[in-house]
Amino acid sequence: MTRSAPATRPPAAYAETAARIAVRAGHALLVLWGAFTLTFVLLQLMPGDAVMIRFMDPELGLTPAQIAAIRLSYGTGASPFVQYVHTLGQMLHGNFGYSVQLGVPVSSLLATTLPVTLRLAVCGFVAAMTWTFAVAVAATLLPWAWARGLARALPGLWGAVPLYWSGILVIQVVSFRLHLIPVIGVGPWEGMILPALAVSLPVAAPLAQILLQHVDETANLPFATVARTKGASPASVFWRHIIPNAMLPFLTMGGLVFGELLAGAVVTETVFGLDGVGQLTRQAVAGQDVAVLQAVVMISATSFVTINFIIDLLYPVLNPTLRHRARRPTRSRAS
Amino acid sequence: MSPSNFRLRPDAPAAPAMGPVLDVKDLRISYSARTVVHGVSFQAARGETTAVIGESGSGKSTIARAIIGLLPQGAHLESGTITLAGDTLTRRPSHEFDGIRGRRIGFVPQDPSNSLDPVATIGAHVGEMFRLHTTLSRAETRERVLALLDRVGLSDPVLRFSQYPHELSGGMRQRVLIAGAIALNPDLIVADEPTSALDVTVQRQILDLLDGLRAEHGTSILLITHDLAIAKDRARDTIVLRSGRIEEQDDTAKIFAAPRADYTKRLIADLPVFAPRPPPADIPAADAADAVVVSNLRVAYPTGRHQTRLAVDSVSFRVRAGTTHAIVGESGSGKTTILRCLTGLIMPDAGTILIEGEDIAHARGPARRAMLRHIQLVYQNPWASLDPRQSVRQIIEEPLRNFAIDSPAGRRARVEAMLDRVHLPRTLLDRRPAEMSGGQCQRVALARALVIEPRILVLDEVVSALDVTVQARVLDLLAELRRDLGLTYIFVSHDLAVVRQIADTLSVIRHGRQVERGPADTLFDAPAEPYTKLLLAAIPGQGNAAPVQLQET
Repeated sequence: MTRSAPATRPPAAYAETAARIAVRAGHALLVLWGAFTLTFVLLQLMPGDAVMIRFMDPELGLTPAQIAAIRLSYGTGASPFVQYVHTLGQMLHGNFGYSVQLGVPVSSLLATTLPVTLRLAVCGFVAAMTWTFAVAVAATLLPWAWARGLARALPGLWGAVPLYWSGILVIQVVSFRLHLIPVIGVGPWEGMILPALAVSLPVAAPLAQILLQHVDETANLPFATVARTKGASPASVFWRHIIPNAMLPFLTMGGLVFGELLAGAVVTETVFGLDGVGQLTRQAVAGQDVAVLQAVVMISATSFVTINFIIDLLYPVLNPTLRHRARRPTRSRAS
Repeated sequence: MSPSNFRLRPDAPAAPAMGPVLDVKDLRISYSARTVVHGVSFQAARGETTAVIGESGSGKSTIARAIIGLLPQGAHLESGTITLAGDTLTRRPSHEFDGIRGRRIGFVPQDPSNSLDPVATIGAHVGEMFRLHTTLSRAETRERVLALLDRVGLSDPVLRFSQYPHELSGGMRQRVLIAGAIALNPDLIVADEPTSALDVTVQRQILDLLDGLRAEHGTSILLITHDLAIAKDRARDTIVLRSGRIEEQDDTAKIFAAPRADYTKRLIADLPVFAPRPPPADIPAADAADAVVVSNLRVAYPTGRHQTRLAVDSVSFRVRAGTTHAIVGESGSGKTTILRCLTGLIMPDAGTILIEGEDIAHARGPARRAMLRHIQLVYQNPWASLDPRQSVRQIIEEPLRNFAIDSPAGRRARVEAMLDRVHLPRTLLDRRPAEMSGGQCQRVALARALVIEPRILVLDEVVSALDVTVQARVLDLLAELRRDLGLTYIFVSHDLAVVRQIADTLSVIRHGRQVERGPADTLFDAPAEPYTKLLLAAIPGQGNAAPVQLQET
């Protein structure tokens, strides 16, 4: 018997993988362009505009001619098509325009708010994943039936609690009663503990329910029983066979949830007084600050598209049935 | 380097050589209030194959699960003891049992397609035995696993080691599972319907493999099966179970030569392989019209941008009105594709299909609809093909509604008449599929197909999911309906023993190609093609269990 070398993939396989990634990336760019166009059209359709809201105040005493000049300076006077091409071109160069309300470049607004939101999203997501897996482990492996049942009921319970209430409750208990973490004057990471805790609970609820559902389904498949017949303990079957299989459908949901954390943490940021993208969005909506809104939509669209892109690339890593099939042999046994 | 030189059983436990390997005493198991195993006692002899046979619901799988200490949730061991080579297994704490499972009892499951973890390699599957029970290094484990893969007849073990389950066929996956079961040379292998999901030729190879391992290593095998023919060929002792009680247990040869229990007698009588072929009731005149003529049928499925796979290639046959034509083939042979063409669900790429003289491809609109009304399809799995939310009455009435036949009162009468035809009591009219047995469901499916008075029935493996006694009754019904209603059947099956009971003519299909066709008598008595011979030889129960041909599947 000779040792063949199945470990190395043929060059054609790499070419095919590269082509697949290129097509995926193309789709991602198309989605981003679509998101930009859609937002642009929707923002154009809104009655009134930011210039009117900020400068039409009679107390400012500006004449219609002066307002028209301001409009021109913000580029809102030109035809919609010219504005569209101009904004798109600028955005491709990383220039998001000026905020009418605050009079500063949108990019500098994002530079201060984006890190805060990103930090919150990452911390919240890590916390949510921790709760999710803790619940799955408890609901599957605890030796007592009542404890497993309790773990199973937890996500439904905490998922029903509104964020503004659980957030305030967390501050009350942790900061004011127990004096563990101060509410104001904390470092950037220490200050993330409470908001991440608050934001992770409602997010972890659907995640835990979906993971549990897939864990249950996988545990009922014959291969889980077969692993037990080999003498594997329940914990060993859980970690080695059930979780790797249950992770496949769970991945998609995880990506969506992370995207949502990045896009909309308005309530959390309000409750904990964080100046993140959520706050920026709230102010921009109130003032119809088109340039800021356009930028925020593009940021969240980009994060969704990037996350989905990464997840698409992860699927074949986790699921061998999606991998390239060039290695499939068609030899038959001659004996 | 040749892995087959490695010893497979260096850490064999020094088991006492005397006494039965397995001793089950007064086993009683219940699901909440319902007792499913009523005080069962039997022994399995060392180094022999002992068969436990029974139909669905007989409790055979529950007993198997009790032996490996993994009773399903809700099942409760009421009383009894199970002893393995002198050691009591019952009432052991779970963690203690983990050291027995795999090491002293190997398990071969029923359905190889779902019994391997899809994200683990073949090497990891077999290697798990050594990881769990030994302290061997990775390199040593690899050597042992390669030797095992070679031993169970898998070609190129090094390649298989790094492959994933989806890259292997069903037969190869079952070999992998067997490799895992024998890895640590257990005292006993419990094989729970190890071949019921496999093609008949593959079934034969897997049973040969198990037999060979038993002969070579002296491993005892407890073979759980619904198939008496397999027990007859493979087991020294047989235990016949029915509704959780033992009807009969004895030497297999004695049971088949002179069954004592009435139940065993009936089981053996209903087994198609033992039943004499019924003489054709009344042979339709040789000049009878052709009901179906298929010529040079060709169907290709696209598999890539510029690639296609030929699912069916130049298949031709002719079915005279009032006769049964069987299409025989193993999984993936293209049987189902031919069916889908016949019932107009897909269009062939080439070739013609004439239904009662009319080309199915040319009919359009109402004409096509009328034509397809006369050719009805009955599926393999009665539970899956009946809407679980509909009552029997609604199920049978639906085709009448679809074709707007008759008044509501007239439809009601037709439904009831049809229920009589398939010998179902009218009390079933308001039942739902979940409240009926498999045989009853299949009769309802037949009634649904027949209620719009088709002239041709396409029967897709209609009896394969049924127990042998139920299967025999449904085959009787089919023969009766054909005689009374003058139907033409196209009967698709993998089971040649069943086909022999019902077919007048048959086509043998392999890899989409027609291997052989002709009158059933000729093909069964004097097959011309090697593949047909192989299929016939693989039918279990003929008492010729010697290995025919070692071929990887």
